[in-house]
Amino acid sequence: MTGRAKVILPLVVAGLGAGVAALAFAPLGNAARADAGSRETFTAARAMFRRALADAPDVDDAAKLGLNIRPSDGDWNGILLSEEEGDCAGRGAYLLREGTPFPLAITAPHRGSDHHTGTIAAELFAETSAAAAAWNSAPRRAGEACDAAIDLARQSQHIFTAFSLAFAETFPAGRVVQIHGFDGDKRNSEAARNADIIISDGTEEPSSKLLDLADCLSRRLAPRPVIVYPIETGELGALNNAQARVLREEAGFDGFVHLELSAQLRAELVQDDNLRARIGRCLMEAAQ
Amino acid sequence: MSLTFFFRTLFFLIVAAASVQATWLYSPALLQYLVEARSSTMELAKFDSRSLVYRMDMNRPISFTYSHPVKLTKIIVQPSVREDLRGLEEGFVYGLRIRLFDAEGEMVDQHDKYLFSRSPNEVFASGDVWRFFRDRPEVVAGQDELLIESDPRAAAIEFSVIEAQEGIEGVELRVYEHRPFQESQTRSTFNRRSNAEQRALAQANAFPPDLLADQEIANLTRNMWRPVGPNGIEGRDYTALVLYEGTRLPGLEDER
Repeated sequence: MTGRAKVILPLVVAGLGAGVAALAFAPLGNAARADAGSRETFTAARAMFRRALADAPDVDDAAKLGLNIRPSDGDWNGILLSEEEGDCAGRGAYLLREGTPFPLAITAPHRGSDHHTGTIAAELFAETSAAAAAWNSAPRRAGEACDAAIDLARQSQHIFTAFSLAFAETFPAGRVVQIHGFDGDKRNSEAARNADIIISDGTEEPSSKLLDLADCLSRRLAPRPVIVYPIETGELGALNNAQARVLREEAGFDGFVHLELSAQLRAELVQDDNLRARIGRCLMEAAQ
Repeated sequence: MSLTFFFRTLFFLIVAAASVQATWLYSPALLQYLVEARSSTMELAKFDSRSLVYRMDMNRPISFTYSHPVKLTKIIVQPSVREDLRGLEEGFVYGLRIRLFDAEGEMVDQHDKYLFSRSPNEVFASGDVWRFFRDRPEVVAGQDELLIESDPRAAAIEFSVIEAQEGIEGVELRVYEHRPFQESQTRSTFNRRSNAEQRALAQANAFPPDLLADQEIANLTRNMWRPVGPNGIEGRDYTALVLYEGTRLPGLEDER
């Protein structure tokens, strides 16, 4: 590869990632209200996403949920479901890939407050063959920009949870990965403070599947510390995560993955294609 | 009432009273035993820790560069052996050549260490901790800890296998550099750790962490280590493996 190509290629890749992010991320600032959802909405969204993941979405069903459908304008084939630009209903944004994708969903329920997690999820989706991606469309905490914020990871009847459940029902052997961010300085234990990734499946007894993924990440990211809750730390186990609980209780799904990334690793991941590819390979292997 | 009937009734009452007394005395202990038995069964499947270890290539060295020049290096090393040799009574012998380099790449010291490692079965039978790989057929033999001093301070360390007994499939190691220690920050360094970590550090002490004197805390804080990763690329220059540790509990030995 020539010196010029070494400069241009990363810029093209970064541009494509930024394009996916721009396509999917409505500005958090245009916020008005956030809807935690109801049982009826949840049931309708679950059915809509099941159809969308298995075949094709029903435009009317999506519209009833306040979601518009647009075709992808990135280098992947599929659709984007999102609310009207400028609306801050917090229904979330969803990318569904067409064809025969990997049974992998990459999500970021706290983009914005957990810096870079939305960009990392978008880029991992674009760079892997993941079947779907999703993230929040309203901020986690209310502010001047949006006075009715929502914490999706605590909403068991939200469209985002219905999407996760529909995915688990469509791909029962697949993986639903949630990307979060943590601040090492705020952690209590030395292990968590020094970790780059804290991985859990939202239970006190991590499954063999989770340990396989943790081992892959440990090897591929060595010597960065990748630690497992609760074996190596008692913090950030996602025991109260709504999606983890609903997937487990309503679908018997054991493929939920809660990935907490350190601030340092997140900053590196948005810049470093190779580092991101190593995580992407582990996620793909885990979803096979 | 006949005498025989009287004695029968008396005997019955004595037995009944003894039963009530025994139930009163022993039922809490029995209940506790049942609870512990249930939880210990669950504990058998639990892991205590997992660590990243680096398997050495038998034919070429593996090197590590410290984050700062160090005087003291801690090395935890173990051989992994063929499954059919897990009970080898005479154990396993292997040798390591350890070379230390300064910042200019000049060798400042060299040590040849010959180590004896107990067989996996012996380690398992005699200790509380058992070690294993989840994804590999080899079994882990006895582990050793080495402390290597360097004067002058070293910037890098290199290891090569100079001898490995038949049956040793790999030698894995972890390398730790001694953390820089500032006398004035011992208390804050110690306090930054969680309560559980403070208790673990102070477990050999007669007093709980909150009753330790400054000098005792300084001694605990002085003994802190930071892991160092190898140079190169995983898969090409070294092989990274994840080593699990579990606590050996009653009943597990029979299962093995």
